[in-house]
Amino acid sequence: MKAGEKSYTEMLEELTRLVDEVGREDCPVDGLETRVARAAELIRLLRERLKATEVAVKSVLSGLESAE
Amino acid sequence: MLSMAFPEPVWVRGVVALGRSKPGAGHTYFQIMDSCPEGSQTPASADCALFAGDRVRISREVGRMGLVFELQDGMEARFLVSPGIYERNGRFSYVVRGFDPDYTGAAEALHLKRLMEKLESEGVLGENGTLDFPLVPLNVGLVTAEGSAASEDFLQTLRESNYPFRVYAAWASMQGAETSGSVTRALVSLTGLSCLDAVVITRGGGSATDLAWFNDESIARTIAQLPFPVISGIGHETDMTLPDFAAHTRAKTPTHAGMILVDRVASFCDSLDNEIRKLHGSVIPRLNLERMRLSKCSSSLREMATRPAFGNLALISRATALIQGRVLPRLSGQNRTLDHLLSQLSRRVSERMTRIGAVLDRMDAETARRDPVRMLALGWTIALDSRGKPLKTVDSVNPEDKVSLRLSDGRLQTRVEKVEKD
Repeated sequence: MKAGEKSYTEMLEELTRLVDEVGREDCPVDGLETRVARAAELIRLLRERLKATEVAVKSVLSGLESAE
Repeated sequence: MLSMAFPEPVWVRGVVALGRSKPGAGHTYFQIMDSCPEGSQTPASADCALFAGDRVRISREVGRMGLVFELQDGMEARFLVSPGIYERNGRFSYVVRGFDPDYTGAAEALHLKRLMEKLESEGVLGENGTLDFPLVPLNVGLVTAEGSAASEDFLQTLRESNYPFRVYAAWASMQGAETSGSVTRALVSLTGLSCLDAVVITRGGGSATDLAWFNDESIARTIAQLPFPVISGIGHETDMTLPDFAAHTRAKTPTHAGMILVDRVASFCDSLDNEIRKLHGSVIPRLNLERMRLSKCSSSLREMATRPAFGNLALISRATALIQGRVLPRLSGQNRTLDHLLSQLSRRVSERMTRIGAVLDRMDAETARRDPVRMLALGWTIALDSRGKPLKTVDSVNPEDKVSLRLSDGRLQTRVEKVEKD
């Protein structure tokens, strides 16, 4: 994770908040598009982070197995 | 007259001065001098004649005592003489009839005693004895007469030992007046050999007068200054000369001088053998013990090293399995969370849009329900005043006012006849 970049947890909290907001009646319709777009961006980033983590973990485990 | 005065032979004593005479088989002529002249006085002297017959007799008598009769320059002697006049030159002389070997020995002993006292007080006698005698004296300097029996006895002793002795000989005259200078030069010449372990000065047995030549101060001083320990083996066991006292070690004979060196080397070899045996007796078992301990330690170390390794490998395998079993599912769980959130987002947005649509639909319906055109079609009429504003009450209308009525298909321009309020 680079400096200034949001952590996985922070992004997940933001996504959860956005999902909650778009469902509420007090959320202005004009803001819906912006929120949904941000939520979609967060989902993409989170999926990428998960994928990268999974690849790294598998690589480490594969190294351990070959060392045995 | 002399024969009347000395009807019997008389004893005289003094120092022998042979001059040009060479004691041999025939008659010997020499002088006897006062041994202790006072001041710078010329010592008193008298001619002596030793005829061959007397010489043989005296030699035999002295020989029976185990001694050798030999006239030498400078020897202190006591002779039994018959005073007389030598007819050929008319000079007074003594005809030697007898010899006192005890006196000569005692005189020499006194001389030796005085020398020893002097050298002892100067520390000369003990000097060489302070040197350490090497443990393995294999390089030996030898001062003796070339080809002498003493030389051969000494060298033979070394040869028979089979030890690798190296002998550096400095041949010297070992009897007579040349002894002192020759022996001193020989000793000094050996100082150039730094490899030497010891020096042996030796000669065989001889008369007291023969050996007395070694009672020389310069020989003793030279020995004291040598950097090597000196073994002195001069004469027989009972003979004592000054080098015996000045040297590090006294040997009884030339053979004994060799044996001292051989015994020294043998002693070292024996001690070496003993040490080797001790080594075998103590160190080898110790080494075996240490080897066993080492082997045991090695086994333990191997066991200790491999046991944790196997344990660690198992631990690593378990950890790997745990990581695979926990981390990857967690990642999958997060993926499902994201799927869920996406689904929620989609659903909520959709619901929200649906709700907004419904509101709009209701508003549309209401709007449609309230549409005037629809009301007009139902038979309703909209009354407008002269300015075109809808009339909602009769209060603002007066008789004769023009009122326009809007119907579904057109307008009626009317005039108010009467206002009736409900």
